[in-house]
Amino acid sequence: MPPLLRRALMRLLEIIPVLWVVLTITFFLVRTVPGGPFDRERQLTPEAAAHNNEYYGLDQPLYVQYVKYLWNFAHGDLGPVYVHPDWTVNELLAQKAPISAELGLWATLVALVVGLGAGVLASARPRSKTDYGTMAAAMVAICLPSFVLGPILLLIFGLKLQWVNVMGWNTAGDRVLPSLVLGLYYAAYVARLTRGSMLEVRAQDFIRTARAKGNGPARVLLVHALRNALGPIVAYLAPTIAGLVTGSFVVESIFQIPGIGRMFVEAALSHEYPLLLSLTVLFTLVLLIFNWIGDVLIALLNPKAAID
Amino acid sequence: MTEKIPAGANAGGSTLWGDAWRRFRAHRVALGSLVFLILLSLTCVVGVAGVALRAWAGYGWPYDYAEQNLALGPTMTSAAHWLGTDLLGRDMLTRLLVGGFVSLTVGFLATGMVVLIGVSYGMVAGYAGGRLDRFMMRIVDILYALPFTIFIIMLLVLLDKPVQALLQHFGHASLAPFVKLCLLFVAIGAFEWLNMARVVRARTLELKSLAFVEAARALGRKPGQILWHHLLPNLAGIIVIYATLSVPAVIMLESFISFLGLGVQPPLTSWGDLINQGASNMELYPWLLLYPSLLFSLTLFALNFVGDGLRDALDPRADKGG
Repeated sequence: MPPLLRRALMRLLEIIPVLWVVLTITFFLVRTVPGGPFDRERQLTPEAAAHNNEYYGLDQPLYVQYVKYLWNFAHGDLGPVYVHPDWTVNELLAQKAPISAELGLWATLVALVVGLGAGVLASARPRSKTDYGTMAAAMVAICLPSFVLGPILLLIFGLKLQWVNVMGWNTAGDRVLPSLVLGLYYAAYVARLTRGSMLEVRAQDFIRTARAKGNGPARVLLVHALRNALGPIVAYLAPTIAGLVTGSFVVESIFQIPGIGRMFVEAALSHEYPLLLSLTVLFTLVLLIFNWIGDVLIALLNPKAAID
Repeated sequence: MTEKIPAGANAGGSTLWGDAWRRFRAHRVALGSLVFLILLSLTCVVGVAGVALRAWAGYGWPYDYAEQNLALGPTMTSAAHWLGTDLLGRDMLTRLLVGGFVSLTVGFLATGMVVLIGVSYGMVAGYAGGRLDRFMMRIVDILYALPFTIFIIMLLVLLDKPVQALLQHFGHASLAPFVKLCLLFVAIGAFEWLNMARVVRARTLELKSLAFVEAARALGRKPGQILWHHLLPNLAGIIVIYATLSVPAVIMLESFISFLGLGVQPPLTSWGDLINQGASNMELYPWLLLYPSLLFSLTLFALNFVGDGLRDALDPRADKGG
């Protein structure tokens, strides 16, 4: 087996123990904290609370619960939802995760297209007006995080101009503002990274060789330089995309989108242990997988770097 | 003989810091940003001091950040309230200054934590080398692969009630907002140090193979002394750069958490909290959203420019790149 492939497979296998560690730490972390899913403002009678605890097995010793949970988890049963007895965590995730994933993919598209485009544009003529203008715009986008940009765009386009709906996730128009708000911040980072990386690559000898062989400037820029400049961008994008597709707390709250980002905060607040654990494991899993894909891509793009 | 000269004095007299300051000054935007940040911080401190004086002595700042005036309600700019009042008739300027003080304090204190943990971890790993280094860096790699925002949020949410119960038990319930604030910056600081550790370790690896470290070792200095007297002054530049760059990141994280309603507790406020309240009332009272957003974004701008300026000024490669 080639060493690259073997290392890639080893890294993939490492995901399992890391997930187990995260699951275990989270399990005992959320359970050692006082409070439970059934102490709400409207108190249940002690009998009802005891019945609930017994029904969900919360009265058993913690280690028994842990082993049971792990067993069910390994068999794909993520557990019950305490506030909605008709639902399981599996059903809830199956319904809400795709919504967050779709929003995340649109935002990724924004980050990629706008970010790469602006970065290449800026690096084409360094220290020109285009360069400074693009980088200034990127800085503005970085200093306007989603919880600032979201409400302001909503105020202008939703409330004043009434071009889009203020909330919801039904029509194609509902996708525009959330995707932009979520994606532009990352587009700005991608643009800065692309510019820096492109400038470094363009100073190297093989670019001069490519030009000397008669390639046009656009072809040199987009094919020869960009391909070699992609390394840092992929390294940045891999964990970023993982974060985007697993839902954004802020954007989902601002635009009232029923995704899993918002659900996480609610689950933590109401001690929904199975939901909280499943979401944490899901976030970690997606992040680890995307990091893995990123590492493999970087190795494929630049075989020289993979050796050391 | 080098022992007689303290590290700080040595660094101050050398050309590194003099050159860096000269290069930083030439960077107009960065210099302007620095001046803006200093003025803003001073204003926030003066505002908070005035509010504290008023609470203590009854004179000083004309308004309190928590004092409501329900009869007045939300108003726009007026002679009495320069930036208007919020829904409960509280003076916006006062709340912006107090909120800014909270946001900036969390930003700088959490960055202090980042520097403390990151630098000591990175230096030890880099200087020790070998198996210990590999082990320590593997831990960083694994921590790096975890979704930290999630853990910060989970910790803050889960610890909220126990902390309040504990304080109530000891009869200090009024301290709850401040304890929560401390939790916030400890949580952020404890999770943000990874980058710093990596950078410091890489630089330490480079430095320890240089002749002056070998000389110090040959003279019989202990590892602790070498780390403190010989390596730390040479790491100062890179530490300053990364610390400056992490201040905006931390402030952003704090505001994001406060925006979700998990950070500071009312009536205390921070910029993220003000933006959150502004966003929920923006239809009728847009200025409640615009003022904190503007101030917050300008501050992030300035912090980023100062960070970029410092990096250009202190990075030894800056000269070669031209």
